[in-house]
Amino acid sequence: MKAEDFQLSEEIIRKEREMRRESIKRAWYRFSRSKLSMTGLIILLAIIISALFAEYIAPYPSHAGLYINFRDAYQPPSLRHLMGTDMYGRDVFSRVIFGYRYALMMVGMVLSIVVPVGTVLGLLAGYYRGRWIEHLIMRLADIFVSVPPLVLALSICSILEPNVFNAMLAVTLMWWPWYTRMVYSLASSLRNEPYVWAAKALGVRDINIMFRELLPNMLGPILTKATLDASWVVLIGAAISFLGLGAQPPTPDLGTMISEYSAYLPQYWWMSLGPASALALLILAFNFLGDGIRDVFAGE
Amino acid sequence: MKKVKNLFSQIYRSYLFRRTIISFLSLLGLSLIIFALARVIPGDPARMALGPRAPEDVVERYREMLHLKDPLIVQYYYWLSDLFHGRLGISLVTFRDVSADILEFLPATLELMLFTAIIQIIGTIILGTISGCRPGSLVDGALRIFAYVGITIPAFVWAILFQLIFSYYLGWLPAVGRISEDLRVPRVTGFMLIDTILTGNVRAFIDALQHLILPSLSLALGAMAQEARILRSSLVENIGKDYVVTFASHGIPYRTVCFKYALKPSLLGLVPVMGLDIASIIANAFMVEMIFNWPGVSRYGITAMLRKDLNAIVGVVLVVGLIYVIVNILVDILIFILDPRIRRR
Repeated sequence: MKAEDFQLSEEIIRKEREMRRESIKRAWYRFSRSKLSMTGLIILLAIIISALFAEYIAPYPSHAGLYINFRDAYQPPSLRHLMGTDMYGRDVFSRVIFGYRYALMMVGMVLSIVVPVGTVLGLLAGYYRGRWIEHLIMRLADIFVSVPPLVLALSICSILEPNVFNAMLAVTLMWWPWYTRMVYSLASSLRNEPYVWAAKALGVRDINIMFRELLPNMLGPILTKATLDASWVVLIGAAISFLGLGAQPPTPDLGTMISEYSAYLPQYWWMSLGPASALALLILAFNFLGDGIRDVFAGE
Repeated sequence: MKKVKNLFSQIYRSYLFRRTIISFLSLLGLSLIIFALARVIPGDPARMALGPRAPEDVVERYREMLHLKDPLIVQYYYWLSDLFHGRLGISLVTFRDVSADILEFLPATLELMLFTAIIQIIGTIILGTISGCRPGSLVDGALRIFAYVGITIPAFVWAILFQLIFSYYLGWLPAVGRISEDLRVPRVTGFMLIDTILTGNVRAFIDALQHLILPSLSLALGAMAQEARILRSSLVENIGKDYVVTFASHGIPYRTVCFKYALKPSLLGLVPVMGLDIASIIANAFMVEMIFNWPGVSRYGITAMLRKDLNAIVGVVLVVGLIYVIVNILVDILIFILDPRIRRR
């Protein structure tokens, strides 16, 4: 390769990196100006902090698990018990705060495994298009998307032992193909961009092209999907425990609580209202945030 | 006739054909994974089915019957050859034929799915068109709120809420089941609405319809809210396009332009989203059928899962996968027919 070609290639790559850095700055500016996404962020931060410090924030931390005090049972919402008490006299509000812990743990664990694994597999399949590795990964992904994620997650939970950990495991197993498919389609279109060709011409190793050239250009869609997916993970987690295949009572999981307390409807409505509205708030926060992030990246 | 033939040859040559084959092969792969999972878990399925008190020789015979002593791949071969003969094995809990059970419960789920899909499509078009043609109006604002409410409240919470409001407080609609206890409808097709018409039982027809409303409404709402928002934004986009302005400048009333000319291309983009949502109804049905005590495949599946009835679980997952895949393929074909751009690719 001639010296000018070499310079030209380096120039293309450098410009592309500069543009990327500039666009991240602009993205944050646009994000911080959108009311909806900031509302989502603030609600979410509040929920995360209260879940982290549940022992100190919840008015009755001991009520989270097995605790019985029949004298206080079936109390309607009051200043002492913001969301009332349940059939064992436990403070529903305290249990809801602990319930956020399980919901956020589920989101954290599922996404922190699924996003990297799904992305790497998608990158491999998209970059090595037409090779055996593409077929292997994509056909495996096809198998997992041939049934609704909830149904397969439910059956895996039931075949293993129904508990919180297995529920997380099952959802994780179900979720990676959706990232792989998205990253795959992004990668297979990006691999023909000039800067990728330039990097190839310079002799950059495949692995560096994938992670330093392709990946940074997909962060927008991946991040958007991750935030919007967070609400789906919360929902599916709640659904699994609602059906009795996830967390088991007395674990203060939001879905478990809704299913446990809905037996006491309609007379003791506050018991189910607490966890149900808490669940809705968390999902809403993730959706606001996701919509905000999407708008930021869509504006480019 | 020639047109139809032409379409078929186009389908054959297109990616559709390939995708259909891949989908069914994926189902086969799914069966292998779920089968392996059901067999490698710790614990003895035969012992689990017969209970701790069953004598050892009975358990032993049961193991022979289920081919549990053979290697996994041989077990899978037996199971697969049974599958192609339409047998899904025998329930480990009730000792009934799983495929017969599923066939009995399937029509109820399909009926629920179809009814939900109809509500979803009609509701989406009405809400989306009204707010898309009049952006900024009262309906548009209401839809915006409704969309977020629809996303944030899960189907099972809707179901409980509806049960409480419409059956308990207002008493307008029945809370559980498919048909009232006192009505006897002979089973012809298994679809309650069709069976009641076939037997000419008007009262039972209305009764079945009333039972359908709440479950399908709670299944439809979430997806409907999101789809209506998508339809709205693509309508708003299309109304700004040149051809719509041209129609309007020709003196065609805004309403006609909106409902006739702008709606068609806007609906096209909605079809894939709608298709996936309709296919996913069966997943949400797992919760809603449980709450409304709807005698469908999903409730059967949940019962099997709670009892760890492995053969029934595998059967239900496969049947659900089959429905899911078939609906997705139908949607692909529909897009193929509706959108000439894809056909030319």
